[in-house]
Amino acid sequence: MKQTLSTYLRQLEAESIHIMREVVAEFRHPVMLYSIGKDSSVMVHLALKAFYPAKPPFPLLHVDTTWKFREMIAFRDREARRLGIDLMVHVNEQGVRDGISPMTHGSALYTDIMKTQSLKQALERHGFDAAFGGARRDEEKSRAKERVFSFRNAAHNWDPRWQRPELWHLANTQIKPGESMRVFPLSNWTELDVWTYIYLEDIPVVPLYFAAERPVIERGGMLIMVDDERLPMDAGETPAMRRVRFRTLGCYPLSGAIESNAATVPEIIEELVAARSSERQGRVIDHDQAGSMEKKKQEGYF
Amino acid sequence: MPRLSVVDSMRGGAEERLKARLVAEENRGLLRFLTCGSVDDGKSTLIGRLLYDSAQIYDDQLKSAERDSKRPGGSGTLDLALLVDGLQAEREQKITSDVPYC
Repeated sequence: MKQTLSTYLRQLEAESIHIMREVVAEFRHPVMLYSIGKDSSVMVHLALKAFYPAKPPFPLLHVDTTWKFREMIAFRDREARRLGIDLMVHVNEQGVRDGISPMTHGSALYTDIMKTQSLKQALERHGFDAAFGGARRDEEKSRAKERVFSFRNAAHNWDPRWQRPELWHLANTQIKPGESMRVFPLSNWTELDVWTYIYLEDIPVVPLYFAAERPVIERGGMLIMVDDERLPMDAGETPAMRRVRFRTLGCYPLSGAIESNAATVPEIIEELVAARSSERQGRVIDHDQAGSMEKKKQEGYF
Repeated sequence: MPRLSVVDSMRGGAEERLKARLVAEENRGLLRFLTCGSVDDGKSTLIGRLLYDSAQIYDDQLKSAERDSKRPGGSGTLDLALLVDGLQAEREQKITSDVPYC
């Protein structure tokens, strides 16, 4: 039998649930961004708890770049059915028509068009005034400084100098028409907290997090999984089967795998405790320019 | 710099070890840490140093702080305040600006 949650996990859980209820009380039309990763899995699980026995009073939104791992998409559709939650999928159709890809256009431009612009389109089309995201402070240095309630102007821009004070659990949720709020209920969780909670609460996650033999190529010091035939091979590159898993999941050409034998949640946790590098080291988009994530956030990225 | 506990997941029995750790941590609560002081007293540096000494810093984060310390205008030696001051504006002005304007 599994143990009950430790004191600090119960504190984190209560804080996240409080944040979700606060958003539902204060905003007209909230949405929960669902990226299919482990943090999203935990966030959705918390949302179900926060409003149980009712379903969460907001839909899930996945901003699809068309370059996600196939296993992620299969998991997304399976989970939406299992949980009975309304799932919306948005793709930047103009970007698809223009043939925008991470290989030919570079990761920075690609991320701007297929993620940032796409997200803004979806938020505007449906008039969402608050959007939950599963970002955590320990992920990245600009995320560390962002508020739980992160104000965005009508152009969806973030400005670190205009952040609102958040004393104890009080948030200033006032916005004018057109403005919006990004809300991060998992702000104070760490990667280890997320995995421990997944273990204790039996939360399903995408199988790509667990070690298995997968076809990979080495490119730019990273192990990239060849998930479909769209990834062009350079001269001399041939995919080799290696036992790998992913610590973080995004678009497959931009997500580096790690060599690992961790095939269960306790083994992942054990590997994590011994890890010497940070979670997002394997994310190209965090390193494609100085102050990378901060700039993307100012432009409206999550 | 050793991390808190290094174990070999190849050995098996990961779940038993995890359960033992969870029992030991059952009553552990969250720690909130606050520094107060004047400009340049070393508030950020103290927090950075505590993170460093408690082995909370990953290799790539430390390497990035080392690299940034050597930039023009940097201190030349490892500046642990950079672990706390992550925003571009904070680094340019060498202050922690995470005090919001009301």
